[in-house]
Amino acid sequence: MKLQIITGIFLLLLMGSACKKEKVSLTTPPVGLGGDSTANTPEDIFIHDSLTVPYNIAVYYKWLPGQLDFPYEIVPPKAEKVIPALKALLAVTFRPYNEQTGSSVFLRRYLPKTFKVAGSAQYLSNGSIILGQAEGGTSMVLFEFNNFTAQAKDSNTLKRMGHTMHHEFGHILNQNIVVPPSFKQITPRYTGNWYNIADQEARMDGFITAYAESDPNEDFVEMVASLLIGADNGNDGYDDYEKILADQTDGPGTPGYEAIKAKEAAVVDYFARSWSIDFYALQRKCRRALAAYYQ
Amino acid sequence: MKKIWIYYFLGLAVMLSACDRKSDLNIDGIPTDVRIAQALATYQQKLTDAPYGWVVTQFTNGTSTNGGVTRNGPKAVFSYYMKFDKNSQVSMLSDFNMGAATVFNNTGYRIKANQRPTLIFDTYSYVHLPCDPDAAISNSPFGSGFGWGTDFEFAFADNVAAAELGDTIRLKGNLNQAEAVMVKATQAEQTLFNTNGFGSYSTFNKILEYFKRVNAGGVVFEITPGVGGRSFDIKTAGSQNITNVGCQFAPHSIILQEPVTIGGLTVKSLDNLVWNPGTRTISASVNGTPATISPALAPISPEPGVALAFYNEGLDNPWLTVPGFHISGVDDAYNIRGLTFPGRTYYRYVYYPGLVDAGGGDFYDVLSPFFVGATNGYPYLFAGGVAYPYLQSGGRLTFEMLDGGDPIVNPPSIIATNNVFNTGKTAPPYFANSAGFYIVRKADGTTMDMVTAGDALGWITWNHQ
Repeated sequence: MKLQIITGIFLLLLMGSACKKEKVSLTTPPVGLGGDSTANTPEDIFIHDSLTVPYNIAVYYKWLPGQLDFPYEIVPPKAEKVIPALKALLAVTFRPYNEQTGSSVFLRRYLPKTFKVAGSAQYLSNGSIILGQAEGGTSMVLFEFNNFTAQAKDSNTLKRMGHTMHHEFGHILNQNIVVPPSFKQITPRYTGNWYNIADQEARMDGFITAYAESDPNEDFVEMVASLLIGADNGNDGYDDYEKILADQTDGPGTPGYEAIKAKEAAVVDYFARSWSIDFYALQRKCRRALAAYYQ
Repeated sequence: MKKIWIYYFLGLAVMLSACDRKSDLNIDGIPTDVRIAQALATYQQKLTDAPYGWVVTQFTNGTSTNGGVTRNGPKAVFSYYMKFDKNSQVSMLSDFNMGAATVFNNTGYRIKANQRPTLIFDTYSYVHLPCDPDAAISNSPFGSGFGWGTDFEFAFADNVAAAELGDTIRLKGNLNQAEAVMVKATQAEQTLFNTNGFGSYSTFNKILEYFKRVNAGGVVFEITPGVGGRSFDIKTAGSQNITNVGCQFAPHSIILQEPVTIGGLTVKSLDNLVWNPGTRTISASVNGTPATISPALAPISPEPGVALAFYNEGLDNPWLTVPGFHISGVDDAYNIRGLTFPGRTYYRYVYYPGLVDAGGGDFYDVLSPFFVGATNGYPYLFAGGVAYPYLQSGGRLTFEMLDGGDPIVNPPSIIATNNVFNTGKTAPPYFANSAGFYIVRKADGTTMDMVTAGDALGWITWNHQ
């Protein structure tokens, strides 16, 4: 027994002496944790002043290995496109919310905290293209910055970015205050096979986009995004919500049209009850901002 | 009791080994983080310490990767002149296109500690042009979503410590494994790049004709663009041999990747290119022998029966292309890639001989864009996409474009394309009879170029993909 105790003490002593900590410099941040930052460019300063300080959002536009899907041929954005595209996003999506809620506090609290920027789209092997993506409410990827212009004819790029933003923001709002369960009873036909369904087919079935057909949560936020900034209307690009309903459903009285209208009412009701936001007023502000933006 | 002792010894061994950490991480008493930071700084210093910049050449290996899929295609060489500064900015020229060859572009770079120390061009620059998944930008023949197989993230591949890097630095791309070599430029080279840019590229491409004929002291050979336009197909009179060779552009020279022997003359490079606007020719030298590069309207050695072979091959297996005509130096000059039709997506321009039954035993050809997304893939066909073909002397093919009376209105890009098909020329004055097209087989054996016989300024590249 004695032997054991002595050995135990010996071991403790050994640990104490062998594991002496090395001295770490606390003044230089380690590589990869803020220690390899590159020189500040005008873009960095703009991002810091316009997004990081007011909204607590980090924007990664300089290429970092592995930040976007690695085995894909994706290119970083042109530096000269970064400020104009972000300014546009601020003008057409951030400002309406700020005006409607009276300050930037609302967005600052709930927006995803990381924007990743790519110059091109991401081309999938099945021939489709990813144009906007989000990860778990914490980060968003904004694609095709290199195609951004303020011209009305090129408006799809910006509308797509705005759609992604409204979509993800919608998710975060839902995660804070849940959507009434009655919403998912409007069209209880959700399917994992949504990507084989054309948008128009989905609209005839009462879903605003094919992706909305995947899940009630996606359905709700696709409604929010489509109401605020429109949705893809086939090859002609983005159109307003009303035009899509007119073009791609059989109109009032048909099940598809009525289901989408019922969801619209649910969205408006949710924003009013949960967030005290007049959704139609917000929609008007979004549309005004978009119209004012284009040349 | 015995067992307890075993545990003590085990524990002792584990602890002793676990506490060995310090000696693993620290070399000469310097912790890992500090050593990494030092190495990165040394790499950057190596790049910025070249007072006259770097000549960087990137070689692809004939493959291109996207989304885990790797495709094979033509190899290519891209050359750059770069100057790195300490503020993570790099200014560069490239031989990618006429603008990039003479106008410096300023973008960002960084050195990062990946599995290997890596040089990243971190905002869009000339390095990214051939990587762009949008084929309308990269002009890559590998298909939509695939670049040329070049990279913009490179590992330092010399496998020596940063401080030991010399005047030549080898790099290897992280995605496509393209190899690149950086060589420190001399003051003379810097002066050349600053004044002329990639002068050989801009000079060589002043000749807009498809056929370029080189006469070096009586030895004559023909250069036509390789598939995708990043290499040379070389032919001589009286021979059907096609030699495809990569070409690297320097300020005054075009260097062939492998020497090509033509009639006893071993051509390693075309040197001292000078444009003569009066004669529209280029003076040059080959191995010190004065040479002339001049445009030609016809192939030096037309392949017998190639037009008929081309027609016949298409009967069962239509000829396809994504971009439309290359006209006077502009790829896809009429923006065929941007074609739309409501509810459908542009897929390919198609040459399908003998598809349209005109009755009475006559069959017409299809020369029309094909769309996916609906049952009728040829929405513009009967609005002018039907062609009556004729086989002409000298291996030419002419088309008479027929209007099927369909009231669909063709977009301007199709009208312009049909006009080229109909006349065999890219611009007026048109001949009374169409000159048609020369059919030129490319070195890969599967690609055929159709070249306007009227002026050789326009061509379209057909294959079966």
